[in-house]
Amino acid sequence: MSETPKGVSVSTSQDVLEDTLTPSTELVLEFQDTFQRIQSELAKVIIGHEELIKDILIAFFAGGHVLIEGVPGTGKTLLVRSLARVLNLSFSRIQFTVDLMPADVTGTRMVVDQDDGRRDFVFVEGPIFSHVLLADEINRSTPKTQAALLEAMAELQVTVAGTTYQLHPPFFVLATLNPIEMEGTYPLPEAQLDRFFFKVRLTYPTHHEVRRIISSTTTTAEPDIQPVFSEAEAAEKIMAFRHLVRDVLVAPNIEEYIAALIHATLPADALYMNQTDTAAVTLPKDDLVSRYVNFGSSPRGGQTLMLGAKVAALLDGRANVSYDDVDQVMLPALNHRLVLNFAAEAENIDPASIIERILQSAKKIQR
Amino acid sequence: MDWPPGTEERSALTEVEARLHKLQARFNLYTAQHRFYGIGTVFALGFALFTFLAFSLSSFWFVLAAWPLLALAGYVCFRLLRRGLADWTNLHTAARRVDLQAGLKQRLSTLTAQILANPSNGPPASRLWTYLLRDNLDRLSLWEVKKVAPRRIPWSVLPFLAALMFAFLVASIPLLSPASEPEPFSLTNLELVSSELPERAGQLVDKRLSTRPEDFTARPLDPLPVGETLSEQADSQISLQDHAADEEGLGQELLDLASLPEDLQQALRTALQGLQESQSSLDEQNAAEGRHLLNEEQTQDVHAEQQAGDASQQALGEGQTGQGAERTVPGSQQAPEQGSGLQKLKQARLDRRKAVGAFQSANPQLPRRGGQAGRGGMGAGSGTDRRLYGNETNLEGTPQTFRLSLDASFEKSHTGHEIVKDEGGGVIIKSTSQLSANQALDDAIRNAQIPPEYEDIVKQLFSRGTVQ
Repeated sequence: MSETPKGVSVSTSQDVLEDTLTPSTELVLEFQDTFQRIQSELAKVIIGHEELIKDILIAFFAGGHVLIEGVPGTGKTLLVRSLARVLNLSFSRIQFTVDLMPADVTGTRMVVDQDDGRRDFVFVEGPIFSHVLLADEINRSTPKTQAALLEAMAELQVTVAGTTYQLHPPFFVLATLNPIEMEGTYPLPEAQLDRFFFKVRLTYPTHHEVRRIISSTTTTAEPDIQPVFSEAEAAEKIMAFRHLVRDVLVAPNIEEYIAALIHATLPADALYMNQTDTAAVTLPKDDLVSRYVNFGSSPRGGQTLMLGAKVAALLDGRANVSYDDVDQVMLPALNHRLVLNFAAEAENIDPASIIERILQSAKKIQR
Repeated sequence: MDWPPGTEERSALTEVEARLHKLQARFNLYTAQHRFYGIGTVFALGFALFTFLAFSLSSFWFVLAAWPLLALAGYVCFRLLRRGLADWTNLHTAARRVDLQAGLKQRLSTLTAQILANPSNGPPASRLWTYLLRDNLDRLSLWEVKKVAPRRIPWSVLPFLAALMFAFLVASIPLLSPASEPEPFSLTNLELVSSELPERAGQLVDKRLSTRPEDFTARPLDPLPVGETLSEQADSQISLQDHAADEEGLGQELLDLASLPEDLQQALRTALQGLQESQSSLDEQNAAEGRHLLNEEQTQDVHAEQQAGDASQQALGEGQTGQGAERTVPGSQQAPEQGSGLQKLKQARLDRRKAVGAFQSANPQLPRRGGQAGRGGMGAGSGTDRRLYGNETNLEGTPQTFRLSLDASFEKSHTGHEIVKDEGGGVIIKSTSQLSANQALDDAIRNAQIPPEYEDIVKQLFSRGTVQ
């Protein structure tokens, strides 16, 4: 029986509940512990970028994929590789180039000699059949190849020569974008961008971080990364955590809040806007949104907000979503879902500033 | 989430729910008070404004301004009521407010939403439901009712009280002002009173003298009007015996009297008799005093003449100087003054009797006052009232003329009046004033042409008078 600061009656109720509540309590505590251990193991390899790592892990446990935008040489590949090692999951890397074909990603049917002398078509799995996939510089491949990857990301399956093959869960794609050297690239269309759960920016490390990177990677000492899970139970554990995330409870006012945020990203004169919408909770249309946004977030953005907020709630030791959880994941969840117009590019307006403005106006809903 | 009673979850949940219901009641009470004071403020300010307008504007402009102001006040009250209804707190809203105030990060609102959303005895919506319940139990100390919603008076009571005081002040200023006290004899007030007097006097007289049943019923416990009415009823009862034509109209009044308890009837009759006797005795006393003064006047006049004669004789005889005459002159001058005062008194009494007679002109021979009948006997003894045997319908409500004139002329051996009871228990007041010899010879009955239908009555009366 635990000591509580409450009165006798409350203590009694709590003591009686002690045994019955243990399973769910252990699950939450295990999730928190696992998350912290992953962060600490990655911190051995990745210097700095704690928030970025947290966002990536949130997306991972929410079952989404992450698009990382950053200049070359900032540790994107190292981050993904280290994550796969920590999670003890299979890892693949695809360097996207212009001549990369879909079959190079998904796999292909090859004629193989059988033991009995016959020749048969056998499907040879591509690099996509792994748990963690690094799609490096995804914008350098053609849209056809990109589409092959994105189908797998959305549906956890690939179709080759009319045959559908299921991927092995958990499936996690980390794609990188190089913001420079844009010549000869194929920017991802909006529909494909929407498939990514988060889009995070890998910024330059600070001066102190650069010193640590230099000192730690130029010696013979190898970082000792310990896997969090055993290889046999890794996939199962991760899938259990993903189920736990979806069990987090949400109040109706939080759902209304997320819906209001999604609608706030839509410009007033947006195409296909439902003019008969009578929402109970709405936000005033921001001037920035009307001036600089061509297309706002899709409902998938709302799903992203909800799932990301659930993970954030679990990380905070709660079984319910709060407004703070939603606010916390709003920027990585929506910044690639706002399609800005030419005026925004000309005036150097980025989606982050618009999202910040929407968050400020959304504070009054929380009361 | 409704577990069977007695389970652990149920007991924990009951604890949370009970506290939440208390908070909901507190929130709603505060909201109700807030809106009540708001509406009260509007009413108080509206009252103050109306009072101010009533004192400062003419009636036309007041009416012109009153309706928009009434509409505005009604609109504000409607908005306040509507806002109060919108602010009414349900269980989920109360939980949200607690979350915000206690920093629970939507733990309680989520728990409440689960309670309200899930059907009874249904399975938990999530594996984390019990975790959420425990999480809330751990934080019960953060949202005690006294902390989150302490009992307090809404701030809106201050403007409400201020508005009340303002309204009272506005209403009191005209009353406290010296100009508000009217000068009773000012020209304006007199003009007002004189202009309203005919109408108001008519209303008062109508009410006091009315014999209509509704006037009695309107004042059932007022003894004076009932007494006056009973007096009239007594007279009416006399006429009932002689004038069958009026039975229908007077019967209702008699029924009113008869409807009273017997004791009360007797008491009222006695009181009326006492009133009339005392008034009669007072009149007799006045008459006697008048006679006494008249005798004194005559005596003084004779005495003064004698004194004047004696004085002149003495002056002529003894050659007395003017000093003696000066002493007698005041006496000789005093007599006319005294005589003129008595004449004035006499004239005043005569005027008063005439006035009384004028009011009794419709009933000239009703001997209500023995002194008048004895002294004057003008109406009673003359027997020359041209309406005596005329058409009674033209007499304007004087039904008892014939009978009383007979009594007045016959019972001349007595003075004063006599009260007898008739067979129905009513009161008959008979004049017993003594007539003079000339008046007796001028008896109306003896000289009149009596209709045949009154023959029996007249003979009966004459025979009774003979016996007496």
